[in-house]
Amino acid sequence: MARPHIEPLDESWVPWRKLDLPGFPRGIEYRTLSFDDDTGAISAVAKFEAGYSQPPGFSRSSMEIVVMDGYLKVGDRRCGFGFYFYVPAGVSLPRIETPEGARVLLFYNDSEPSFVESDAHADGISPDAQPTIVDSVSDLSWSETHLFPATEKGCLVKIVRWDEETHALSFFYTMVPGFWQDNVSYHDCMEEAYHIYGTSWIMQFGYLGTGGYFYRPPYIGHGPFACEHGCLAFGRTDGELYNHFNWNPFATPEENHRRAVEKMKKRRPNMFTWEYRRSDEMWVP
Amino acid sequence: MDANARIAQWKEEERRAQAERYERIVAAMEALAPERDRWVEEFFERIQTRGWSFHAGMRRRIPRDQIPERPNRPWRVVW
Repeated sequence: MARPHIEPLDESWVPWRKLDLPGFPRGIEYRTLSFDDDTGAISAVAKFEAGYSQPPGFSRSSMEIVVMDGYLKVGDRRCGFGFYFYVPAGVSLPRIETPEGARVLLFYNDSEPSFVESDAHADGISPDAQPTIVDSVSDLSWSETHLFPATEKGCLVKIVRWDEETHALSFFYTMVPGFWQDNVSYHDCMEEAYHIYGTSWIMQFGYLGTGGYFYRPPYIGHGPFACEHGCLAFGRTDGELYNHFNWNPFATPEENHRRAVEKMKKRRPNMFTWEYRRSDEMWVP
Repeated sequence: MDANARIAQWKEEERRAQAERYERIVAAMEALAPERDRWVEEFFERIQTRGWSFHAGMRRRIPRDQIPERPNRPWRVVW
């Protein structure tokens, strides 16, 4: 069933496991946050033991890493708190070491975690291909979401990746102390987030503290939202993050989906009409 | 054990562990129902008085006759 709705998850519920899949050096433990049982893709918290060393190599899956504690030495570069990596499938990273250990968020997007030792990229990958590495602390400033409609003021983001084809996002977000937003929302895309620090509240799910996580499939209602003392989190979507704001918390995902289609008819009438006419079948959302 | 068998075993272990976590989440969310019922009444009260957030600090009040009735079915929050 791919990934179910996981919300809310407290990281401490999940035991640490050794990452002992083929190819990986010893020295990584992880806690699964969510798992796709069709593909093996996984979102996890991982810790690298002090002295861990991984030779140059690549994964068969695209992957993302967020450094939360300690630092990774990637080649000659020291990557500490707030560093973000997006590594396309088959793109080789230089040697990774964690002299003092590190704790990270780790996402394998396409398949189970894999590691192939190699100085070069996988066959078929352009030699010019590079990972995206962002120092979110030094290189990015907090900004409004610039979504329309947008969250209440006081929810700020640092967007570290935007996929130009799918509009998928990876981003840090923070809610300032006293943040409050009185609406129910749903999206046309999956949304997941991990609380690096602090506690927020969502009416349906209660309080999400440090180490809290959710993986929310499309069209699931959530909100209102609040954050009493401030929080820092990392989130991702797999498509455009459009806020369908409303005030009906009782609607099912199917009802929300139908309403989203009705809204699209109003917001993008030409596209909706064109898509409807080209289809041989009656549109049944 | 060869690599493919190990990966298959790992996937099955993860699938089972996630199913257990899912059941724990569902139980926790059922236990939260009384508090959630109070929160939703407070939400409906606020959007009639303080206002409903429709965009970045902009709010409007929702008339009482537009407050949704609770459907005659359990309010499911985990899907």
